[in-house]
Amino acid sequence: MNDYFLTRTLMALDRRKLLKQIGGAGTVVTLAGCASVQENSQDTEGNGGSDSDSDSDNGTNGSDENGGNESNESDSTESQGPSGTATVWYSLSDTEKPLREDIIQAFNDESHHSVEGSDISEMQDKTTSSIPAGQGPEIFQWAHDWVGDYYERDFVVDQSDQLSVNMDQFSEAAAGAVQYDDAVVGLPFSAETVTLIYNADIVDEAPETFADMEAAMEDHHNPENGQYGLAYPFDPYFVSGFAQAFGGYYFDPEEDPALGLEADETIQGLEFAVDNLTPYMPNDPSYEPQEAAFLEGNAAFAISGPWYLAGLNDNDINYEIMTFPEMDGGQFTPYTGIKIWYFSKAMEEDGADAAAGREFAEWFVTNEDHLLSRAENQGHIPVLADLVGSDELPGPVQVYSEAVDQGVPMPTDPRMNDVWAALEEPMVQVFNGSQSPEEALTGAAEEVRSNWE
Amino acid sequence: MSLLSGIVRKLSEDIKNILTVPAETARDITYTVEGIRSGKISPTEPLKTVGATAGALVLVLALLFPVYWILQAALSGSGASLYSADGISIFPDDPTLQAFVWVVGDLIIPGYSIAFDVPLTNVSLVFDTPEVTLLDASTYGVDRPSSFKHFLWNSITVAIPTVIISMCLIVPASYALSRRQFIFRRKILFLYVLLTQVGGGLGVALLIGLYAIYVQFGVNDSKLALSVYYAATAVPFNTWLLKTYMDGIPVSYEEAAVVDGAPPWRVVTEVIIPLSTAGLATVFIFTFLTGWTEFVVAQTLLGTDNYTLPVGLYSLVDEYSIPWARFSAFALTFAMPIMLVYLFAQRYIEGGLSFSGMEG
Amino acid sequence: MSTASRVVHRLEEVPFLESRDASLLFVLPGLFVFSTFMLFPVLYLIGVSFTNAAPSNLFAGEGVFSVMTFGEATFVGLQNYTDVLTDPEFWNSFGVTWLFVATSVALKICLSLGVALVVTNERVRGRRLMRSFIILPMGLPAIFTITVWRGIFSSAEFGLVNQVLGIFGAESVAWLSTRWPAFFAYNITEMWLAYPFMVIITVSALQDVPEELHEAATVDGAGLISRFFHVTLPSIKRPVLFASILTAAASFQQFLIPYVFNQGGPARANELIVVYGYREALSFSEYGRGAAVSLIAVVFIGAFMWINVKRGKLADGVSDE
Repeated sequence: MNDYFLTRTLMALDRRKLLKQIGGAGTVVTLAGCASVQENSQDTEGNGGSDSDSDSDNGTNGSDENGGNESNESDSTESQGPSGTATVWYSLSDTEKPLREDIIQAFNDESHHSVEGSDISEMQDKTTSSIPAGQGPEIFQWAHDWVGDYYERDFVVDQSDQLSVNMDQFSEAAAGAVQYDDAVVGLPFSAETVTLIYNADIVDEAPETFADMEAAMEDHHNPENGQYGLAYPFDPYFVSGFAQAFGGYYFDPEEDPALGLEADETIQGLEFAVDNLTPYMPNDPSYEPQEAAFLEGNAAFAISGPWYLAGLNDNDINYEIMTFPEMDGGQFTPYTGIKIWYFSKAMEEDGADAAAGREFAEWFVTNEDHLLSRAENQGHIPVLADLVGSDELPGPVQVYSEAVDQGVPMPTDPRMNDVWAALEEPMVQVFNGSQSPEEALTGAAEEVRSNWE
Repeated sequence: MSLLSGIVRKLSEDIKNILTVPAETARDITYTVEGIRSGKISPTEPLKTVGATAGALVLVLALLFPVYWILQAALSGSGASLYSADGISIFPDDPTLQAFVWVVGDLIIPGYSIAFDVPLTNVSLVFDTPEVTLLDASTYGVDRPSSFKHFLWNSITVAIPTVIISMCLIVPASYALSRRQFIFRRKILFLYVLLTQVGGGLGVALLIGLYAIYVQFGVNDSKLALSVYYAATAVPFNTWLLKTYMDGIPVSYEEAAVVDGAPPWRVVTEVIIPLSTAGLATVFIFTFLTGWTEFVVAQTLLGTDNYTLPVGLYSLVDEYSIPWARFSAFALTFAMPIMLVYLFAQRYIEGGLSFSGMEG
Repeated sequence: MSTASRVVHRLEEVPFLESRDASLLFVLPGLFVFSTFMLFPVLYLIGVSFTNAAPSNLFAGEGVFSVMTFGEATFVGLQNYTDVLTDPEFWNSFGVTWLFVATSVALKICLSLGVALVVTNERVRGRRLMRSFIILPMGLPAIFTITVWRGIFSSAEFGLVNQVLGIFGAESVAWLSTRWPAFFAYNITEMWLAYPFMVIITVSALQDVPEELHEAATVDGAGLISRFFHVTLPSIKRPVLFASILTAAASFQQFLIPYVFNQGGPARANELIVVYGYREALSFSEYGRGAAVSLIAVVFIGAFMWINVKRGKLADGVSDE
């Protein structure tokens, strides 16, 4: 340590003068331990703009380990237990990561607890292997559809007794999404769903009815020249908006029968999509090629979620967002997802680290400033009751907010996983025309039932 | 040491050869033109050469078209996609190196102060090294470069121990299998050949088992433990490979050394090892590649801080979309070292895989 | 390397290790490390295959030890094996897998031989540089290249292959959602992924073909093609055969291509065996059954390798003779 202070002091002196006094450096014999090498701090060198170096470090290291020291400095939080460090996992796109890191930094500065964030590339694999082995995080972020499954597998735990936020602070759908069997296994912070987007350079005005929309698609569709009417990933999640448009449903534990795949209304919905939408789409039903068509300005319409907007902005697409136009006898009713912080098994032992995780989650989901900044920068739709439908929200988010209202939350029942899995392949067959919607849905229903047994 | 200096000498020769290629070619062409003019060379000969070279070039370009396609995505900036309704284009409209700058990030060697305390006096000697800026990402509009360097460091610290550990396991074993007769020799050899390919693909349950053991011993998230695993998986194939190579070295060299009175260990260091350079180089590359490109196990065992390059690469992909420009630039930067190493180690590898020992 | 020699030195000094079996000690460390890492997981896998393990019961107990002792999963005997062996999907998958091995290996050999002959041809200038460029695919992570090939074979009108077809006036093909086109796409991709390894081996072998043989054949008036079949091919047969066996085993275990392309679709038609096992284990959450599939696959690939190693005499060496 002495060397360190000495060096620091000397650095303040005129170095040239010092060197002159000493003479040739080659002749100096040093004892072991007396030599020190120190990286010049950036501010003393005054090279502006190179602090991105430290940013990249933050990206991987999260926060420093000695979060505990901070309790002496800031006493902003009211309840002071021992300070803990929580590990939090998320899986974010490149555009979202910086903001997340900033928010974590803000929390660490403010609280006597600290959190360490990690971006995980395969959340399902990683949680499935780590949590049972006791290597999991305190909390992790994912959509709410794992709630039932993970709770039954003991991957997530009930925190209803420890929470200081109240469930009626959130929208009804969001509050419902984090609860399963009377347990509260997480906290919700944003919603997502899909709605209609149109290219304003191609389509003059927002279509009022589906017929208007179809006419506009018909006008623009010309695959020979690489122009398409609609870009729409044809998978079970995206198609749910139509399958449920005429009163049908995939799966609803409240209904009888719970499995609604074979209901006439569901079949009718899928038939509607096949008859009226697929003729105007590129030939590949998967996400990327579909979205690329609109992203390059080659499609009149797209159906997608808020995550899509950043790319559109990057590409300078003149787009408008709207709720889905009126359909004869039906309404576009997509599944909505709620993004939540899950309370992982690591919080079972109610120690300081668990408190840190809980406090971070509570702070994250109720901090209006951060929620608004995420709405503005990334199109996140807040689910905090005070912000739902608020005028402070940017335009696109308000539209998505309305679309969320029209949708239904995905079921949290673990049986839903079988429904998703069974629908995947038939959707492709339906898109190709090698199966009729009725055949596909009946086949899928049979598979689901056999897996449930 | 002589081995090392030999390698260095050959490397510098190679570099010189590559650098002088244009000059050589020019001289070649002049010579040929002269030859044709003076009637020494028949004019059809150079035509055949040109034709063959052009044909080969077309073949190589066709094979590498997917790579070119990736490169094009990497160069076309944030809007890049592998799916373009605009049709195939040979060059990107508006090429930019931004994605590569994003991958590489800042290349700044920070300034250091080096201080010496002069004994018995109160003075200290301080040097300042200048800060060297090779590449400042922010000047190219990249504010948050990727963690490539961090991942690179992890990959290197996984791949190098992998190579060292596996070499220690493989070299003695290959030598023994090639030169000695002992109990179970054929059985082990047979087992190794059998296992060269069976190891992988055992599926998810295997991964869970592996993970459970690692956690039990508290060595998950340890790069060294991962290296040991990679080295273990590399043992059968590479031992067998090196053994086959050593089979091709005539026994007479060793006999000569023994007759000269060399102790057994000197026979190994001065005859076997130098003569196996090509085989060793090949094994080196293969074991290095094991640690460099493996994804699934690394992804399962390592925490975010210790992510290796393939895991880092895949973490760029999110639920909905792939940022193709960055993804491609990252992958190409990642593959570059392998290509360079191969370029220089080519003659050894091609020698090392010739299986001359197999034609018995 | 010096470590190795020191070990040799020490061993020579120990008196009772004079017997020739002492050489086994050189092999044991590698064998030991390999077995530790592969044997336990395999034993674990065998254990799981006799239980009804699923995420809900395998992770039900406390801590890691519980997972290692199969949690609360119960022993079901050979149930998983009989289930798998009576599942028609399994036999379809089994057949498709062997077909894939046959077609992809044939394609790989043809392409690699062709490429290797071209880039070693004396008329071709810059062939060394070409050789180092064409192995580039080996350095790219498989998961990345396969994602790229997925894009190349997009069914969309603007997928790369479809655009090329369009240039020749052909209709676009729904590559990944029709059975045989998807199978074809797997083959092309597998061929591209494997050619660098095969080319390296073939090139190495070609360079070992004695020049005199060619010269003698040329003097005898043999043409290019006849020289290829009578001189080149016999000399490189064994290395190429060896590479083919290795690459056949790789094809047999191909997982990423079918999985990334279309999950072995359409409608499970092209489910290669590892994908089948993976689907049983993960999508249907039946680890026990998935493990049984993996082990059946291992038995088959093991048998395949065994026959080839025996017949190709790959375990033999010069010193045996």
